[in-house]
Amino acid sequence: MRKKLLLIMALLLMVPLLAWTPAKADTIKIGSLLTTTGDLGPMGNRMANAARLAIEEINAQGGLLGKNVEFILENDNCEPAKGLERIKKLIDINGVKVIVGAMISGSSFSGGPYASRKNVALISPSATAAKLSEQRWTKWFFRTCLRDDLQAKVLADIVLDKGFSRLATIVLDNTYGQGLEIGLVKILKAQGWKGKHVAAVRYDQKKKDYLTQLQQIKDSKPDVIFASTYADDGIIVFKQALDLGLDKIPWLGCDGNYGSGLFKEPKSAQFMEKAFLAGTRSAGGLTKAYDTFARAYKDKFGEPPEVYCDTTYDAVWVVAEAIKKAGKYDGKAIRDAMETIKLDGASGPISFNETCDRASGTFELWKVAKDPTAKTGYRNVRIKLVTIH
Amino acid sequence: MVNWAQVFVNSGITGSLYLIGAVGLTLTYGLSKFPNFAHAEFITLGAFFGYIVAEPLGLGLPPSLIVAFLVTGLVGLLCYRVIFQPLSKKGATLIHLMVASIALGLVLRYSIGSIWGWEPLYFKTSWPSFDIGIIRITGLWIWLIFVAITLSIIMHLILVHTRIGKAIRATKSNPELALASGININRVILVTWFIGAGLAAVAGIFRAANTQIWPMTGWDIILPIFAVAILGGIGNFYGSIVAAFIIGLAENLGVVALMTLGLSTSYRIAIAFIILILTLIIRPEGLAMLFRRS
Repeated sequence: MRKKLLLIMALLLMVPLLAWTPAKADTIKIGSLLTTTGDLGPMGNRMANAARLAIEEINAQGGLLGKNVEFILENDNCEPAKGLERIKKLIDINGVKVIVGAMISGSSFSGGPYASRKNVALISPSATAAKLSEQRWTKWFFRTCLRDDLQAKVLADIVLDKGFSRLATIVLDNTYGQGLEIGLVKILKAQGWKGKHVAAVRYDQKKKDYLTQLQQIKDSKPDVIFASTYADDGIIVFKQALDLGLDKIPWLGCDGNYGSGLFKEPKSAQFMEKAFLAGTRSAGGLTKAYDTFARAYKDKFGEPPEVYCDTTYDAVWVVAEAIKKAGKYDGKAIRDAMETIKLDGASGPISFNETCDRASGTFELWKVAKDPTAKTGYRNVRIKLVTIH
Repeated sequence: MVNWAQVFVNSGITGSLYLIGAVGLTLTYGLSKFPNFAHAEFITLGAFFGYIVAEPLGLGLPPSLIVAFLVTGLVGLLCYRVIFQPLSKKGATLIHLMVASIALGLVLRYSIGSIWGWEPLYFKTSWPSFDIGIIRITGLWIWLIFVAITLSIIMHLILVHTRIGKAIRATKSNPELALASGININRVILVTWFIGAGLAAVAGIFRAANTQIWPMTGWDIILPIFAVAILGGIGNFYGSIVAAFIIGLAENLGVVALMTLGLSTSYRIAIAFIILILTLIIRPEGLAMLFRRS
């Protein structure tokens, strides 16, 4: 009797197991590779939240192809080697047919070839390196963010427009800083610019003293200076530039030196207010779709979305639309459908060009103005919007 | 065109900072016979003490230099008394003491981090800039150069004319003989640690006011400071004056050269490192020979 009871109990225990297994096979999987630990961790976690929000909305609308959507997130810890390993795991073990990522250009480079061989498309919300479009597998690598060279084009237009002829650059010595510097000079030359690139500084973010570099720039007598910095190093660059009297020359900035982080130090803010002719940045947050997204995000996570949250959210929606359009969960079919997707996303209208990059984007030109109501006494103000194709 | 006058002035500014930072290191190294890696944290600690006096308390630069000198000096003295002196008495060798100093440095650095946070802070005081001919200089740099020169004169007077100065020199060149002559070696070493850590604090304040302040402030500049101490000859004050300006000049000329060659100025820090290695290979005693009395 006891034995029978035990047997029945064991069988009963197996019931949920039986019920669960087919349900698992009955979801549509969307893989994702972001950086959720380390220096970029906070940013990556916010992006992951944006993706989760999109997945939740998709499921609330009835999922895809009649099935629920399952989101599988992996973390590369900002290491390209780990990124490849995680992409292999997503494809070979989880069996995903499309991946939102990689967040960083490094892991996109390392994981891209493998994913394309396995017929799995990547769609990155934040890898901006222009070189990613020159790879053999670029047809398998989509982006909802804007490439660095588009930003460089906006900057080049300002230089040409104002007739500057002696350009000096001071940029971070990393892919981002170099990309903007190289892109800017290349585009200027291609447009028949007669001017000279009189000084090029690439500095180490960790060596926080740029006096002599700035002095060299001053001695090269530029009529315009382009700076690509992050916040904490930017503060020192601008503060020391003020000490050297470089505020008399017009400066151009970019997305790296946008934001109140640069105004923590009054001299840096004072310098930017005086010297900055214009800076550029990707102009997210202009559409109704963005407001809806931002409100939903804040309601769910208790904080407003930050940089690249909108492009992550959009990337998930692009994938969803592509799966719907493909009509089946197949890597090649999803990729082909993705190429034709047109979507009014939170980050603006999205469509893809022949290298599967975002076909157009809107940038904001900004400057720094005094604002007694702001905590630091300064804020960024919009000059105008520029749409680039 | 390179503005050479400005390059030399900048070298002087860089050199002044390294000199103030290196004096303490070279003296404690010379007397206690081990390189104190926690010297970097004395620099950071001083910068934070100075920041508190200068900014939240709003007392300005001179009081912040004095307070930071005294407080950090005491911390340095305590560190020696509580950690390194007992270790030495137990027969710890150079390696043991060096590793202990690295450990002390880590403890101090992360304690600073958890007390004041890792977010960089900035001195809010605005220094006026002047143009003297083709040279541009700020009030802060004038202060820095003034302090470096005053320090050199005071240290010279102390070393040559006072009892403690003579005791320091005697202890450095021959501890046994100094002990036999009735010099209280322990007291001499404690005084040296006090002065050394105090001067590190002064360097920290200038570095912080010129750039930013965070728990790695000292670590950011410890390599060139070590290069100055070694090039100048360990324990040799006069050698470090010359060495500080050689390193300052090399770094600034290096930036000019790197830019002329179209290379990244990220390699700037490597210049001090190369000088350090070359000194160790070619002339391990540094510039000390130049200042030895025959």
